Parts: sequence; C-alpha cells; structure tokens
Amino acid sequence: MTELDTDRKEVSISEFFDKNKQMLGFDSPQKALFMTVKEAVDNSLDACADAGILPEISVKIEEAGKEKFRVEIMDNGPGIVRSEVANSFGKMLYGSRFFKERQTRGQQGLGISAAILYAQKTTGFPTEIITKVEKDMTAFHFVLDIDIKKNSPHTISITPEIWDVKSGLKITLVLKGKYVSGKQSVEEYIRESAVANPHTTFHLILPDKSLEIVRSVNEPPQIPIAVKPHPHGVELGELISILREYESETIEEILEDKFSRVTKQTARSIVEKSKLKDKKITKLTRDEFEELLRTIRETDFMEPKKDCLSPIGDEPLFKSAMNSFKEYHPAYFSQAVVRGPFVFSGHPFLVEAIAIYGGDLPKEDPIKILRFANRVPLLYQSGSCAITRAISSLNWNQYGFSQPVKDQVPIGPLIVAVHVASTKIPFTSEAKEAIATVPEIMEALDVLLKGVARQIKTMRKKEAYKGQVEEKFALIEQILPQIAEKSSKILGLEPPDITPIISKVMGVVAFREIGGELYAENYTEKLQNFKVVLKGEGTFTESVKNLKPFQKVKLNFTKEIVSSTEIYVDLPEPVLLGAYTLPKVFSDE
Amino acid sequence: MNEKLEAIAREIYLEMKEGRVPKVELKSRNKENILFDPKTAVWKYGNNTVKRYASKASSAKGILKMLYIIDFVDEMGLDLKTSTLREMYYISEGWNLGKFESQDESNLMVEDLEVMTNYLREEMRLRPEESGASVIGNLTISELNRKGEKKKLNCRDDVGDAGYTIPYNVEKEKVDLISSDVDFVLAIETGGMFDRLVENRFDEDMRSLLVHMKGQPSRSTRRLLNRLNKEMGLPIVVFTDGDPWSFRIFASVAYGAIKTAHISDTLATPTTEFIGITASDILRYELPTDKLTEKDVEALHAELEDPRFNIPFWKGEIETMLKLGKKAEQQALAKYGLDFVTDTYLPEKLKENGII
Repeated sequence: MTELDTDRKEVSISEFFDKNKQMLGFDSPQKALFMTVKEAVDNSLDACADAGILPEISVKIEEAGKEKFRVEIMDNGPGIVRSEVANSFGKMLYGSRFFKERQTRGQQGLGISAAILYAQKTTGFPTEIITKVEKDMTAFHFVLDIDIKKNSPHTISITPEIWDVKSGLKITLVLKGKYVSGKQSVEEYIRESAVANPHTTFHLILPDKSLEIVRSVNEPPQIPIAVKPHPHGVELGELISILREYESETIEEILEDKFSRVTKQTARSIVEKSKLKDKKITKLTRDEFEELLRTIRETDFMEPKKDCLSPIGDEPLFKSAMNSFKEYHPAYFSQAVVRGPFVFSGHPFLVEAIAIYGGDLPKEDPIKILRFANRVPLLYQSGSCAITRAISSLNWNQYGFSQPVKDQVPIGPLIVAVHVASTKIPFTSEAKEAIATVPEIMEALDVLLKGVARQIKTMRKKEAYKGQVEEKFALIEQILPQIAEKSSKILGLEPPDITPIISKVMGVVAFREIGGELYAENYTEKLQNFKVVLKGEGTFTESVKNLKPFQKVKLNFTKEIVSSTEIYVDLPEPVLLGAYTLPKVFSDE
Repeated sequence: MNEKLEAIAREIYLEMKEGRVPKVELKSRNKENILFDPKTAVWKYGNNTVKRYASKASSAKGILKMLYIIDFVDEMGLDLKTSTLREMYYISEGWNLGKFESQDESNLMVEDLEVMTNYLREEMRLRPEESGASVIGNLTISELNRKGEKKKLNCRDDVGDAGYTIPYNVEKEKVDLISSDVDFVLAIETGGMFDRLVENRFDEDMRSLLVHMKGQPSRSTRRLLNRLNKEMGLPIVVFTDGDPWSFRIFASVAYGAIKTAHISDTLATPTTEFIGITASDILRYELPTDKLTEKDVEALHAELEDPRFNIPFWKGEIETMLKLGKKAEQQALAKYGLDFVTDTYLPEKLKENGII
C-alpha cells in the first residue's frame, strides 16, 4: 500500500528537477540553451495547432555576458488568458491529466517550467512573459519565477501593455548556456522543425547569423483528435489513477466509459473474470489491480481508432523538403510516403518518410538522417533510435549505396527524413531523445524505407539515361543549328536546312520526360511500332503503332507513374534512347 | 589572309548543305603520330589524321567553338586589333554553347587551328599571356617599339641586372639580331641560378649569353634560341635541375614538344647540348638530393618510352636516376660555395662537352 501512496505524496518537483537535470535534458550549458528553445518552440507550435493558427515564430538569442544568453521566443498563437499564465509556466506538471490520449509534441507542462527554473538557478533572472488573447484589448506583461520550496509559481509583477497583435505570446529567459552552430544546435533544431512543420514560418536571430524559413504550406494541419485510451495501452499506474479518480463509480462503468473499444458486455466479463464483481475501488489491493490489468491484456478488443493521428502528409512533406533542402540543389526528391495507421500495445501510430538525393550533398559522408516524433526533431541519441536502426538494417548495396559495415548507416549523398506519429511515442528514456525499437514500429519503418530507397534507386537508373538523352537533344536542337548559323554567317550565305542531318545523328526512337509527361519521338527513317512498359511499384503498358519519322507522341501514363518507374521498350538498343530494351522475361508476360 | 580559316568554315557549311554530318579533319596530335624528321632533325607530326564528326555532342561543340574563333579572328582583322588567349577565353563567355570550359581548352583549340592552317597564332591576332625570357650578355638587337621606331640595344650594357626581357613576338619584323660577341648561349631553368651566374659575371668571364627560361620555356624563348643558333651560329647549352621535368625542358628546346610539333621547324634547335644536372653529376659531385616522388618515377618511365630520349646518353641517365631514386636541384651545387658553379662545375662540364 505504501508504494501506491507515494503517488499522492507532495514531492517538491523542483527538488526532483535538481536530481534529474540529465533526464530533463539540462545537463550541460550547450544542451540547456537548446532545450530552452526547444520547449518554448514546441509549446508555440502546439498552441497554434490547437487554435488552428498558421504559426509564425521568432527565436532570438543574444549574448548577455559570459556564458550567459538572453533567449526570446515569440509566436502568433492564441496567447494565454491572464488567470492561467502563472500556472501554465510556473508549475511543473500543470495541465490536463493523462486520461485522454492524443498526438502532441511535448509532455504535459514539464518542459518550459524546467527551463524557467534552470534560468532562475543559473543567472538569478526571472522569466518575462508577454501575452495577449484575442478577446483582451491589451497584453499583459508578467515577470515570474518559481518558488522552489512550494513548487508553485511566484508572480513578481503583472503590467498591462499595448501589443499590436491579434494574439500571441513572447517569453524571455536569461540563462547560463553555450552557443554552438552545426550539429545539435538551435539552428539545426529550427531547420528540422521547419521540415516537419511546413505550415510554419520561422525567424531566427542568432549570435552569428540570422535566417528566415518561410512556410511552404498555407494550411494549418488537421488538429489531432483526443481519444480515450485503448485498454491494451494502459499501464498499471495509469489504471490505478483512472480508477481512483472515479472511485465512486463501479469498475465496470469506468472500463466502459473511460476507455475506447470496451462494450458493456466486455466490461462485465473482465470484471467477472478478475473476480472483482461488486468490489469497491477503494478496497482494491495491489494484487487485485494487477489481476484486473492481466485480464484486460488477455481480452480481445477492436483495434484502437486511428483517425486521431495527424501526419505531415505526403504533399506537405514533399513541398517542405523542396523548400528546406533547395540549397543543396538535389538531383531529385523521392515522393513522400505515408504508411499506417498501425497499432502497437493499444496505441495507434503511423510512419512517413521522404528521401532527397544528390546535388551538393556530400558523397563521402554517411547519409543524413532526420528523425521526427510527433513533428518534433530528435537530435540526440541517434544510434539507439528505431529510425536509425531501421535505416541501418536495410541492405543499402542493393539500392546503389555503399555500406562498408553491415547494419551501419550507409555512405552517400542522401537525406532521409522519417516521422513517427502516435498518441504515445515509445521513447527509450524520459529525455525523449530516441524512439524505442518496438517490433511493430520497426516493421512499419522497414517497409516504408524500402519503398523510399527503391524510388531513389529507380531515379538513379533513370539519371544514367537522362544525361545521354539531354546530350543528344542538345546536339540536334542547339549545337547543330548554331553550327549551321555560324558557318553561314562567316561565309555570308543562307543557313542550310539541317533536317536530313538530324535523323543521321539520331537514328533512334527517343523517350523523353517533358514536364513530367513521357514522349516518344521517332528519329529513324522508317515507321516504328513498339510497346512501352513502365515498371516500378506496378507495371504499366502502352503500345504505339505506326509512329512516322520525325513524329512525336505523348504517352498516356500519369506524371506519378512516369516519375516513379523505369522505362522499357521492345526495341533493340541501337535504335533506343532514354529507355531500356525490354528483356524477354517481361515481354512474354 | 584568313583564306585557310574561311576554308574550314566553308567545308563545314558545304557538308551540311549536302545533308552530311559536318566534320573537321586535322593531323593527329597524340604521341604515336610524332615522328622524327631526319631532314631537319626535329620531331614533327606524321601523316595520321583524325576526323571529328558533329554526331557527338562533344565534338559538335568543338566544331562550333572553332567557328566562333574563326569569326572572332575575322572581326579582329577588320578592326586591326589583337587579343591575348586569355582575353579570348573571357570573350567566349558570350559565345553561348561555344563558350570554353577552361583556358586550356581554348588554347588547345587555337593550336588545332594552327595545325590545320599552318598559321601561327600570332598571325591569327592571338598572343600568349606568358612573359618572355630574360637575356643578359653581349648581344646587340633592335626591337620595333610601340611608336613604330626601331630601338637598338645591347643586352649587357643597356640593361639592368634583370636583363633584357624578350617580347612574345620575336620574329624578324619585331626583333632584329644585329651582332654578338659571345661563344655560346647558356639557357638556365631557374631564376636563382640565373641570378647567381649574373652576379658572378659568368657572361663576361666565359663569353656567354645567359638566357633565363623561367621553367618550361615559352614559344618565344624557344624561338629566340632557335634564331640565335640558326642566324648567329651560336651553340645552345641547356642547364637545368636534375629531375625528369627538367629533362623535358631540354627535349622541348632541342627536339620540339608534342603540343607544338606543327611548328617544330621554327621552335626546336636539334643541336642543343644538355649540360646538367645529370644523374651522373649527382654521384660525381656528391650533390645533396631529394627522393624521387611517385610522379617523378612515373615521368622517368614515360621518358624511357619517349622517342625524343631514345639515345644511349639519355637512356643511361634516366636509368641511373631511377636506380638512385634521387633528384637534385641546380642550386645544390652551392654545397661547395657560391662560386663553385661558375669556377668549377660549368667550366669542367663545358670543356667535357667540347663547347669551350
């Protein structure tokens, strides 16, 4: 019984913080600065998401002395009503309890309070918050810190202030920190946040640079729906808390009301099976709670509802990647792929990914992996994360990348961005830096990543032909006409007609993608009949009859099919350009 | 004067007019087509030719670029202008697909035109960037200056310690060789050694004309050496570092270079003597050395295959150097003091070679 009572004991969370700095991510000045920005930005994004606002977030970091930084994060979110401000920021674990599950970025309230406490402990500065809600005429300027003993907010002053915005929030902290650029930096965090939140505009003013990332999507994402927990996802502690919260009701009623997918009959049979019929919740022993949980786990339920998840989405993710990685001038982007929802231990989840290949990306370095959990970038603990593991476990040689050591990250000019969304992300630790290698998630990631890798392989194969095709067409469309023009200019004569030369230098049926559409052009001197087979995820066929010399025909494949397949044609290699000769095996199909 | 250039354009035009894929044809410029011409004792292009057809994008671009140069030379002719090769390279920025990828590419193409037409690039109003060699010694010349006046000058008495710098064009119409009072010409690879010999008054003491080649000698330097030999009957002696690259400097002065084999007659001086540093010198004078690098060894092996080095003297020296695994600089002679090169080394070697 005593163990259960500790749940209720008044433990000073601040003391807890002191002992668990590491767990909360404030274990070094560099990471403290990073965490502070992360917590504030995540809060801003969540607040905007709830209100259906397109977020515009400014992050400003300036040096305020030796190893001391002033951090200011401003958003255009809904703001917080005056009466809630102190509690929202000053009290750890403030916020709604965990009886409903939904896909959110952070955990309930702990993050930003930890940052405020850290600032206060390292520099003595209180935190300033200016916030305005739409219905108020003015904003309110709060100066507050945390009463460490009582674990409660201590408001130093509240002043009304004119702030010319509809609504919003600005938080300023002064803390001991260390500013770095590059890996695991504030900048990287914001850049990656922009990838997973393409509906957001970021303004970033750092000690050594400023930058702006403009949103590439103009619609706020769908708000994730809160759902009752699925009985298979509940842990013992949670079960006990829920039952005790509603202890005046019967176990049967609680099971039916507070969980999803539990019918009256199932609830009754669970209670009967656990031999708890008519027992008072207040009288339950630990063994009885455990028995109840065991029965729940053994019972079959319908799978949890899955429409409560909010993926980034294939189109927004693609646009976002185009926007975020344009500076590398990539050779190509895979399509963004969303898979799921699936379920692990009663929690729905989905996975999505996109790959970016070539351009100025480094060829000799390990590929770059971007990991996201519920749209939050994960920058630490890469090696133990399910996403990294799933990538490493693919046989990359098969996709044309070098992988010197099996089960290691491959080498090559590639970025793979992977997002896992769930009502409960199974993190490896409280620090929430890596996703655990849950079998269901690993399997979903494996299929997802294979699909993306296959796309990149297909595109690389096509690229080999693309060069040849472009060169030939440059020859007939530009170089030869210019030779004709220049030589005639030197001699003061009329330019010659070069049409007869074109079929001589070409002598092929050429396949070319123009604006995503596939065209066949006959540059031989006779009629051509052939079959075009596109192979990718599926096989698509079209036949062309009697294509005359110098005639061009648009094939009927959709842009999506053309961009994701390899082209095969049943013509021999010497008269074929921009496509592979159809192997016998295929043509017999 | 641009008849031959125009003929190239005309041939391209006519082939297109007749529905044929246009091409250019020129003498093959690879090693296999460099042949020894016993009449003149220099290495020249043989009769192998290559045809570049416009059926490939790369050779078609080459043809287009060639046409752009021809047009450019034509237009310069109308305005009586000249341009450096580098200027032309930059002008090609505006030539669309005819734009050169690098200056090497444009230089090479001008050489191709020289090979095809037998014009020198100077005759096509194109001049090199490179500065000419420095000359010190008792030689009197006259040079046509910018004002169009012939200016007479003695390369010992009328110049400073840096000597007389020869212009890029050393043809008769520009530079006249009037008289000399020396017994031989010493062509030196490095500036340090040139300055040493000047300071030690080697030109006066040994009645020699000192020419600083500045590394791989430019066309005009080689042309000057050729004229000094042909017109004034002066023997040419080459004095370089003792490494494979320096051996090539000698070969280009004596027998011509692959890139300029079409004008070997006017650039190469087959009677040129090599005085050192040889591999045997390294042993004989116990000179301080450096290890041969991988590239050095590769170059030495290539020289063993090079027809220009196919005589017992060079075979022996190259093999000795490979065996030693070492190379030495000219200035390594300073091991025995600053005057050793002028008092001992050069007199000894010149005597052995029968030059003095």
